[in-house]
Formats: sequence, structure tokens, C-alpha cells
Amino acid sequence: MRPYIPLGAYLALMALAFALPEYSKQIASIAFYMALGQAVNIFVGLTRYVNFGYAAFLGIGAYGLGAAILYMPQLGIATIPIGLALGMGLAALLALTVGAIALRLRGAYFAIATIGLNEGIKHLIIGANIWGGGAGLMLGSSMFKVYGRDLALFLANVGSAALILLTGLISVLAMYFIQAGRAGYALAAIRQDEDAAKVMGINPTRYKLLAFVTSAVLSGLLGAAFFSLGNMQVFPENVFFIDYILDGLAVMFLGGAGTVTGPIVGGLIYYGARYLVGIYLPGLQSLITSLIVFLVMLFLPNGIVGTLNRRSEGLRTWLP
Amino acid sequence: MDVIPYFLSGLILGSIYGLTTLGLSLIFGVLRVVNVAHGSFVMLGAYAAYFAFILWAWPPFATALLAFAIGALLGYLVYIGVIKPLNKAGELNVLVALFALGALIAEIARLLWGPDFVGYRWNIGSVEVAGLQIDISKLAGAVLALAIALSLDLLLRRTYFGRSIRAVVQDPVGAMVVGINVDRVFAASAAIGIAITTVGGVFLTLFIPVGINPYMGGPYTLIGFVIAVLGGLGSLLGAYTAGLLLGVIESLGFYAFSVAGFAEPSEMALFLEFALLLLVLLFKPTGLFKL
Repeated sequence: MRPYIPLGAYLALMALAFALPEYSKQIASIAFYMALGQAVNIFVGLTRYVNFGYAAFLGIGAYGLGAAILYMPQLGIATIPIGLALGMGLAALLALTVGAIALRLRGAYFAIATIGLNEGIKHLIIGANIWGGGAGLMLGSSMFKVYGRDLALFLANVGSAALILLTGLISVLAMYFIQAGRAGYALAAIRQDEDAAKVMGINPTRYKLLAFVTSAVLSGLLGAAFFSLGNMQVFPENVFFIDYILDGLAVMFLGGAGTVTGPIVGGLIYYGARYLVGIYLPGLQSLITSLIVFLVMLFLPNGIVGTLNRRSEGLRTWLP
Repeated sequence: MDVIPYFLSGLILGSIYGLTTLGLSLIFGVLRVVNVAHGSFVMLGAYAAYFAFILWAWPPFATALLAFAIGALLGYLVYIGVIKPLNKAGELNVLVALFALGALIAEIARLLWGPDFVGYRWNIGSVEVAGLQIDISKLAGAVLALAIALSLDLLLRRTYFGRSIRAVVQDPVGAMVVGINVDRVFAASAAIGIAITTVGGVFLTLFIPVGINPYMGGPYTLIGFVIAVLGGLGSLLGAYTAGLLLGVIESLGFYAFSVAGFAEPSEMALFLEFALLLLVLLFKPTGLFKL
């Protein structure tokens, strides 16, 4: 596999965001779908397990950065790396807890554990009144005060877009390195036959957990970049939103689960489809999204890139 | 003691939870498929109860029959259209398709009936039990839910149809060899499972006078899964018993969280249920009961 085209696509979009800052919001929206599909893909594509709870990781990542900006303003610009680390750390912790418990079990049980994850964390934050509870975190005035007006706006526009694209890029690299090494063979064996893999001396839980935590950490980074930095606010009803789960599944399956080019292609098409639906059928975006996922599962389960890859060796090498 | 009323009302709500989860457990037990669209079928049942009451003044228990028919038809379609064609492709595909279907049903409901919370009140008096005023409608719902759970169990134990279902559960290939139409058993189980889920949604409206909404399914999906796992995935009476248990835990949890001074005790009760799910998966993933 030669991941130069997908990596190049992210770098090109990043250059575009810096060169044309007035379009950085649109670039960030497209990039969000790509990176979302890409991060989801690391777990779902590599293990063929389904995670219905990853909006929880987006949310917890957003809260990490949001809390750092709001509660540690004395740190100045250092709030960003510290907040991102906090968000990713919390996402990793959550993934380790849920994964260590539920990944010992097979697919059905794991799906059940994750489907409650998003709701569970949302109810904890609202119920225990953590980090603003149901009212959420408003970061705008704090960001203006800490970073100054110009830098804050630059971070919210160009910075957010670049960080989202960076998340997509790291996801491609993560997928590449996981697959290139020992873990890649182990995960391939687990996908084909988990029992046989166990007999061969592979510890399935360990490798599933590796993919799960990697995916969660990158989702956390994405959530921080998109919600806290880009929108300057974190609302529980907004970040723990079931639609992001469907968005991620739509992008990933449209492009092709398990491929690294798939989420880029899927993200572009999906953004285009949503944009058109927004103009011609406003209010029906979620309906169309769920319809897309449903129809893709029924009629194109390997996705666009996945289906093309089966046709030719060259495509498989250059559009992995 | 003011704990007793919470215990009682938890038990009554728990009976409805148990009923709602029977369908989930039946489908998993027979088809080995987790119905992640569960909540949306609960929602459809709730809307059926609401419209039948508002438009035709039907009491919810009459609507339950209609909801059973609608649910059975939908369940059959779900089997023919989603589960059967996708089962060969693997668990991931079935789960994702069902998840998308659940979201699709919720979106269609919003398109047809709007995003607002609606509800109705069916008042047929109340009785006093241990110092607690209990609506007769709720009490009757709880008793009827128990009756449905017991008759479903009887159906599985005592009839030819029930025996063929159990045979398929034990060994699908063996069942086929002795002349059981496995495909028909699968279709019937999906139909009955989703029919009961929909009926559960009808009964649930007795407890949520203003809580009917296209997106109401989410928490009930979570609750359904907690109960199903507690009771042992696939066990019917286990699911019903776990439903009672969860109703009590939810109610007492709500009481404890409000005494402890949490601003949103009902949200905390839902978190408690999620934490409970993880604990059960950690210590006893096969469920608490052997029923």
C-alpha cells in the first residue's frame, strides 16, 4: 500500500485553507466528514466490529479543550496543546475502560455496550452538572480574552480547519502503521476468524483495544478541533449527537470500510450530497443520511473505493 | 418510609420495561441479531397509542392489538428486507443497516408528525396502595404486561410452533434436518419480536403523559439493552424479571439522586443504567438469571 495520494489530498487541502482563509470554514466542514470517517475506520474497518458510541469520543475531546480554555485562561496560548492533550487523554481513558470490559466479548455485546456509551456520558455530564451541565461551555469571550481577537478568529477559522485535516492525515498514517506491522496481521486474522486467531496465539482483545483506543483518541482530537476551536462552544446536546454516528458510518461505508482513500472520497460525496439536500430539501438531511447508510449497506457494502479496489491491483496499490 | 412508593412505582414501570424487552430478547435468542432499531419501534407504538386515543378515543389496551398487527408486519418486512439478505455478509452489516433503519424511521416520524412532544392522559381513576396513589391504568398495564410475558413463555414451551423455535435456537441445521422450516421460524420470530416491542411502546405511554416524540427511542434502546443483558441475552422470562429489577433500580436511583441534591436526578438515573450495563458486562455477561 502506498498512501501518497490520500496523504497528499490532506496536505493539499491544508495548503488551501492557509492560502484562502475566507474559504476555511467550508474546507473545515468537508474535512470534518473526511476525518470523521477516517477515525471511525481505524476501528470499524480494521476489526469489523461496530462502534455506535463514538460521538461520545468527539464530545469528550471537545470538552477537554473547552475546559482548558475556560478554566485555565492564565496559561495563554498553551491552553491549546494542553487542552488537546486533555481531550485526547480523556477519550483514551474512556475507550480503555469500555474496551477493556466489552472487547473481551463478541460483536453483539460490544455493540450493545457502545450504543449506550453516547447517551450514558451525556446523561452524566448533564445530570451531575459537570462542565456547565446542560448549559454547556461558551468559549467565545474567553478565547478573545486569552488569545486576542485576531488570533482567536484565526484559530477558529484556519486553525480549526488545519487541525481537522491534520486529524485525517494522522488517521491515514495510523491506519498505515497499524496495518504494516505485527498488529496488522493479527487484526487481519481476527477479522477472518477470531477463534482460529486465538488458537494461533493471538490475543484478540489486545489488538482490538489498540484499534479502538487509536480511533477514540483521534475522534477526541477531531471533536476538540471542530467544536471547541471551530465553533467556540460545546453543548452536550450538540456534541453527543447521534447524527455524527450516522455521518461517520455514511462516509466510511460510502467510500469503503477498511480503505484509507475511502473516507476522503466518501467525505467529498457525502458533503456534496448534504449541501444539495440542504438547498433543495431543507430539513431532510438526517433522513437522507440514514437512507444513504441503509442503501449502501444493502447494495454497495464494500463502498466505492472498496469495490474499485477489487477490480485491479494498481488501484489497490495507489488508492489503498 | 418514603422509599416504598418509589419501590412500587418502579416495579409497575419495570413490568412495562420487561414487556418492551421481550421482543429484543426473542429476536436475539432466535436470530442472534441485536435489534439496534429497538427504540424506534417503541416510538411507533407510542404514536399509535396517541393517535388512536386522540382521533378515535381508543383506550390504549385496544390500540395494543392494532400495534401488534403493525409491528408484526414491520418485523416481517425487516426480516425479509434487511436481516435475511445481509446475514451472510456478516454481523457488522446487519447491525449498521438496522441502526440506519432505526434512524430512518425516527426521521420519517418527524416528517409526518413533527418534532414536538405530544401525549395524552387516560384517566380511569386511581387506587391507594401503601400510601401511594396509583393510576388504575398503570396498574392494569403492569398486570397485562405480566400476562403477555407469561403467555409468550407458554407459547414457546407448550406449542408446536414454540418447540420449533426452541429447536432452531439449539441447532438450526439439526432443526432443518428434522423438517422445520427455519426461514419461517426466523421470520415469525422477527415479526413477533417487533410486534411485542411496538405493544410495549403503547403501554409505555401510560407512564409518559407528555413524552411522545420521534426521537424518544434513544433512551429506551439503552434501557432495553441493559435489561436484555441483565436478564441474559435471549432469555424471555429473564428479560421480564430484569425489567422489574431495572424499573426498581431506576426509581430508587432517582429517589437517591434527588435526596443527594442532584439538579437532574432523572439524567443521573439513566447514567446509572449505563454504568450498570458495563458492570454486568464486566462481571456476568451471561446475565443474572437462569430462566
